[in-house]
Amino acid sequence: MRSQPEGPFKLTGPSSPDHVATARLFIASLGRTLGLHDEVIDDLRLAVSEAVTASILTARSNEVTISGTIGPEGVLVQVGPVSDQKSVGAGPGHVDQPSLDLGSIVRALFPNAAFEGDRLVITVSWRPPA
Amino acid sequence: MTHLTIEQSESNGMCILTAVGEIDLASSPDLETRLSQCLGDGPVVVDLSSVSFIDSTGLRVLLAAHSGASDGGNPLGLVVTDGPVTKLLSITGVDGHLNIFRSVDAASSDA
Repeated sequence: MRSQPEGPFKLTGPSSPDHVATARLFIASLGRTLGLHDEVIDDLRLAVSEAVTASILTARSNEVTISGTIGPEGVLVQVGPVSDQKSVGAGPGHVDQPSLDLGSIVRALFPNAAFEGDRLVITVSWRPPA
Repeated sequence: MTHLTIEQSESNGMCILTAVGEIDLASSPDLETRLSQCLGDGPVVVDLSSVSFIDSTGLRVLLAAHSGASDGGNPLGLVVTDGPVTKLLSITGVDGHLNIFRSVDAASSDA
């Protein structure tokens, strides 16, 4: 029987490149606290990094927020403001690679990931994958 | 916050960049700068085997450098071992677009 802490969590930071690493540290620390598998933590780090980066590059706000809830079934992670738009060409390199958009990468990591309003929502179940 | 170091060396006229740390929005401009400094002078190898994290920002830099290197006639080789770089290349499907090697020696032999 698991005994993770339950309840909400939230980290809000500036919409600046240096905050991307902070966001990864935050989600990795949360994942370790919850006892998530290392591979799941690595996937969360990448997904959060992509979402925070997309938020910064599209300059949708002066702040980026990672929030969510730890519940009996799993952990729900939200990142925003961000949208499912193509971010191709926004970063250095300017290479047209359709598979590099936020939605494609995040859904490759978490097939249940979805965009709700201006938030990317990822749910990680406590149940091991089938 | 600096979380990427890039060391440069040369071997038989080839520029070798060894990246250690994390490549993201904050650090990828450093990689882009170092690549642009090397790419006009001959073959380039980027050793990514000690990169602990990379996202699409870094991958775009590598793809752009690969494209520029191909246009200039100087090959760009990437040294990648199992880990975060391999995973990102795999899930984005761009691994087939880049010159990937398992070691610096292998990349050097191919250059």
